[in-house]
Amino acid sequence: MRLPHFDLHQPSTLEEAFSLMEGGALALAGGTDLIPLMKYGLEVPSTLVSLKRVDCLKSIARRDGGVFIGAMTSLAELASSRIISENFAALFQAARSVAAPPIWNVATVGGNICQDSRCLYYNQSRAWRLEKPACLKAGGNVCHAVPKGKKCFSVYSGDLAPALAALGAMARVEKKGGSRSVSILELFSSNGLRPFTLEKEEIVTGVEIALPAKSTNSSYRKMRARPSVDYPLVSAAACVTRDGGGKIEKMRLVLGAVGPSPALVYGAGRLFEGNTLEEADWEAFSELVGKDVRMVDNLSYPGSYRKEMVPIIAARAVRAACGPGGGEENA
Amino acid sequence: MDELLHVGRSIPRKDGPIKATGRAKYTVDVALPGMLAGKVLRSPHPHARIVSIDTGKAARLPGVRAVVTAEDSLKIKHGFVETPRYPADQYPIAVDRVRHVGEDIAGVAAIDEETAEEALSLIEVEYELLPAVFDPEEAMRPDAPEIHPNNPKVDEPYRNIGGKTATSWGDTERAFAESYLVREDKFYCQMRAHGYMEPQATVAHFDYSGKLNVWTSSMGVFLKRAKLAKTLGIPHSSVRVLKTYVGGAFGGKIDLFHHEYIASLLSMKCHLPVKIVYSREEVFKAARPAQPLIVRIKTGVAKDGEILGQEIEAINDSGAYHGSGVVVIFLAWGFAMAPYRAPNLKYEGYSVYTNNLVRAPQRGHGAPKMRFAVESQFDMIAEELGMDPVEFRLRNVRKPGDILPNGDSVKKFGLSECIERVAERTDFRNRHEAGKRERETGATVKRGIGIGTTAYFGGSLIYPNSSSAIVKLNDDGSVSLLTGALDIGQGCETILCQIAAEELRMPVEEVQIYAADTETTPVDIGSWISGLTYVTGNAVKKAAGQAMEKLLAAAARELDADVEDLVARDKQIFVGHSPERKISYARAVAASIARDRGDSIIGEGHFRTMKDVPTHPSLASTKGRWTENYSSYAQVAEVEVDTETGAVKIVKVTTAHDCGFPVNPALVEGQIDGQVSMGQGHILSEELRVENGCVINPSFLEYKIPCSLEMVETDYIDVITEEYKRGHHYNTKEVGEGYVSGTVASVANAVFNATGVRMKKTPINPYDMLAELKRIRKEVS
Ligand SMILES: Cc1cc2nc3c(=O)[nH]c(=O)nc-3n(C[C@H](O)[C@H](O)[C@H](O)COP(=O)(O)OP(=O)(O)OC[C@H]3O[C@@H](n4cnc5c(N)ncnc54)[C@H](O)[C@@H]3O)c2cc1C
Ligand code: SF4
Repeated sequence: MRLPHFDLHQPSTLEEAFSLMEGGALALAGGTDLIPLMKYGLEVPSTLVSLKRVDCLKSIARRDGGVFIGAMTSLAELASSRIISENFAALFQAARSVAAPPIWNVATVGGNICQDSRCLYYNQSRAWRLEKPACLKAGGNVCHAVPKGKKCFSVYSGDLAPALAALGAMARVEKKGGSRSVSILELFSSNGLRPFTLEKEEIVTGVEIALPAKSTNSSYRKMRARPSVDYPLVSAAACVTRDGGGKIEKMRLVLGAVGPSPALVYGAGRLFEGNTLEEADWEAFSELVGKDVRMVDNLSYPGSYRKEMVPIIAARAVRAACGPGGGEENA
Repeated sequence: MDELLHVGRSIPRKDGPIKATGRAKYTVDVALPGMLAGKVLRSPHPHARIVSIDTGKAARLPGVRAVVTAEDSLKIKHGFVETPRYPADQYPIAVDRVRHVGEDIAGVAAIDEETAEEALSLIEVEYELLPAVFDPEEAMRPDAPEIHPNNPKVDEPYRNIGGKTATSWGDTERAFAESYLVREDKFYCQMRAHGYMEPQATVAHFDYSGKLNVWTSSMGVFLKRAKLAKTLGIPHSSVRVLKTYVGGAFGGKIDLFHHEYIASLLSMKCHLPVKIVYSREEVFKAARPAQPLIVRIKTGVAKDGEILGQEIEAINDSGAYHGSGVVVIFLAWGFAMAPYRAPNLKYEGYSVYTNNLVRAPQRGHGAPKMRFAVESQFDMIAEELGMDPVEFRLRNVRKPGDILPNGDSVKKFGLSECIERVAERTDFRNRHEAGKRERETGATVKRGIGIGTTAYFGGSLIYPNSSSAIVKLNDDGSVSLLTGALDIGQGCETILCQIAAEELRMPVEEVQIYAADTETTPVDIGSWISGLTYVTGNAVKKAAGQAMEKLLAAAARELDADVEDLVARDKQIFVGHSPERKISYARAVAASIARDRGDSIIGEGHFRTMKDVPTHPSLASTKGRWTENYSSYAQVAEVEVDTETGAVKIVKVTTAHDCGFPVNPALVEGQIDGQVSMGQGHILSEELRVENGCVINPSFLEYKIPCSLEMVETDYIDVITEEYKRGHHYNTKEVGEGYVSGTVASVANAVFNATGVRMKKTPINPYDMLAELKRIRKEVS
């Protein structure tokens, strides 16, 4: 499979990059998500703007009581950073659970957040797709995963975004003459056809996370077919603050791979507040978590099973966040 | 002179350095002047009549050099098996009808891949869709859509039954009536891919001398030559298949692949070299996957666990053509009956046409599926009898010297020793009891242990049935070994050099091997049916032995000594009792040439397994000898089952094995590890998912083959039953296929041990496992 033709720009400053993005180009970071999509003919940009030479986007730095992670920071760097491992266990574990180490070397934080949502019937070659009518996400009007479906249930499968969202991170979004700061979840549209709220010419330049209080800890748990390489089938990030007696004061729980965007579990914190892990009402938790997500048969495991796994993986994330250092790495 | 210098040692692979440094040439690396890129147009439909094909636009596209369809071919059918009962049933380019998604319809050769691909999109094919059937049991119904209306029927009125094997001995009805316990169970195995790293690739060059030169990723060059010559209608002498390095095959590269035929036809049309390389998607979607199998078994046992009778039915979904389906239903019988005694047995195997992909053998060819079924049922029976699974097996295992119903002897069969030793090494009996107690505990993760066993054949009588080798001594005393064997990564070149060096008492480094060229090397059995080390190895042994005899004769004359008194070492020949009388190999060669009318020293050796048996056993009735040597294995798996998610993890697999005599122990261990991982993929995660005949997971991302982090810890116990003696024919047994089975079966049994859940379908997906866990929890409460 060959790449279609495109123009490639490699600016070295952000300003240049912003100008180049004006003409309907796509940003190129590590390319580990975008290039396969282009080979499959699912993305056919005429112009790519590579951010590789924009050095100011590659750093992990302490800034104003928080940590700023440049969009072009590689996952390898994230996965070996002490600032990250010591303060943001969930993000550290999420980074280490992405794909496989060789991919970490090229994959970036910005690219990971902005990766397209996935589906077994969509992420296929052009030749494969031509044997069937085009699905909604590919511009057609059927869905192969849900017969008669009118909505796209492609699954956002990024590992970092749920962790960042649980940690309350903000994304810096910039374009020529404009800059805004939005929460991670605000980046997402919940629409499988176009999972992001970003405007075409906007670039995510980085994410900011406030340093956590000493009593706050976090964790990321991911179910996947093979620990060696696979995308999440269900994942959960939990960020928990506890008092000296182990009672939970605050908890944020975000699910990954449950639909076109990461999903914040509303009410999970309230359910556990004032309780230790032992006192918590886990049955209520199981009922609450994942009750609103719709998961269909479009990944390697059936939707019904994945849905059943949501509270289990979420519970493991919460328990791990209450263990030392976010618990052991992904089981 | 009898201690072994090289054989039995773990010497490094001959092809190690060249592969590790990237210099080994695979087919994709073959580059010839003027070479074109070839592509194949494939059917998008599982079953359709081809109304018309218009290649006009494609042929006119600038850059296109040749387009071929069935009209350019001689329309000669071929088959993996070609016998009067099972005549060839497959055209190398579809004629009038397509019977599976991905079937080859046309080929294009162009100046580059893009142009060839564009040309494919310009070929207009009109189809008339026909009803299709994908489930073998549905296809067996008399009213199912008929896939081959004109083929001879082996089992009227069932129109899609393409093959049947039936055999029986004793009286199973009586055995069941006399049994203390009779169980009947049905097991299902999925369709798997082979997972070789190197995709299918072929370069064909029909040159102006009228010779077709072919480089192709295969498992043996002589079979490819025979099939190409036949379907192209040209003599064998006009086809030359040359060696390239092969990046794995696992059974998936035997037989004629149609891109090989199409590349040849394209090259014959335009007289330029044509290269076709499959995309990974084509490998999954259009190359041949492995055989799925449904096995129903009824077994009756006495109170003490003795097997009294067994009835087995195996149903194979052969896909759109016979492929190896008519063979797997024969082999499945063999793998059922070889390891354990069953005094009364009735076997029926059906190979059924469907509109799925055609199948190829895969490492074990039926054994993992049959052993999964038999061994699972063994443990169910043992549990019901309150017997330990090890005791149950020891009660029924075949003993050395047993004669099988087909007349084969299991000779020095090591299975009972394998079972005893693996049980002892793993503390099986205690831990199996502990596993049962695990079922009662509330632990989330439960641990269990299970055993699985196999016996496997070592070479049989199929084309070309034999191997020949030539050993030439060079002027400096070094050696050139000529063999038709093709190293597909298993290390056969290394082993053959070890054997030659052993017989010639010289360093392995001084043996150069020239392999797998149909024009210049002698015929060979190929890297399949698990006979290479035995058949080719013995041919090389004889060739090297003969060269050594000639060399010693020349030396004896020069040294004025008796041959019996001579000792050879380090390319020197001494008189044993007066070592100062000596001559180098180089001088002995020179002396032979000078004295004997120019005779240089060349040895030739030929070997055929079961030399007194005229032909292969009957695929229909199983009558006739099957093989000369039966290997055996007992494997124990330790697993952990996460009862919240249903995920199964294999912690460790211990293998006790009788492979006869290990010529190179490191290569044997490599085989075991590779097969444990393949068994792991089979039992836990790998499955080609097919919807309406179309594979929906045609990539290594979605086809869940175990990767580096999934590898399990392994341990080995050698049970060595044979010897290698210089100058004598030796017995190695199979090592390259059987261990998959024991792994698959032992994991299934370990899962049962830990949880009480009996999974009768592979792979054991977490979602199926969880559903079963929930079901039995409900039953209990
Ligand atoms: C085999 C394999 C397994 C994988 N497994 C996982 C996995 O387990 N978990 C996981 O999360 N991912 C996985 N991935 C996906 C991918 O590798 C990662 O998500 C990676 O982090 C993407 O980063 P990148 O820099 O390569 O992105 P790119 O491919 O360069 O970009 C991805 C998308 O984001 C856009 N983009 C990139 N940077 C920016 C920016 N700064 N601002 C705005 N838009 C931007 C691009 O235009 C593109 O649309 C896997 C990929 C492969 C090939
Ligand atoms: S969920 Fe349906 S519409 Fe969305 S990508 Fe998959 S098949 Fe297409």
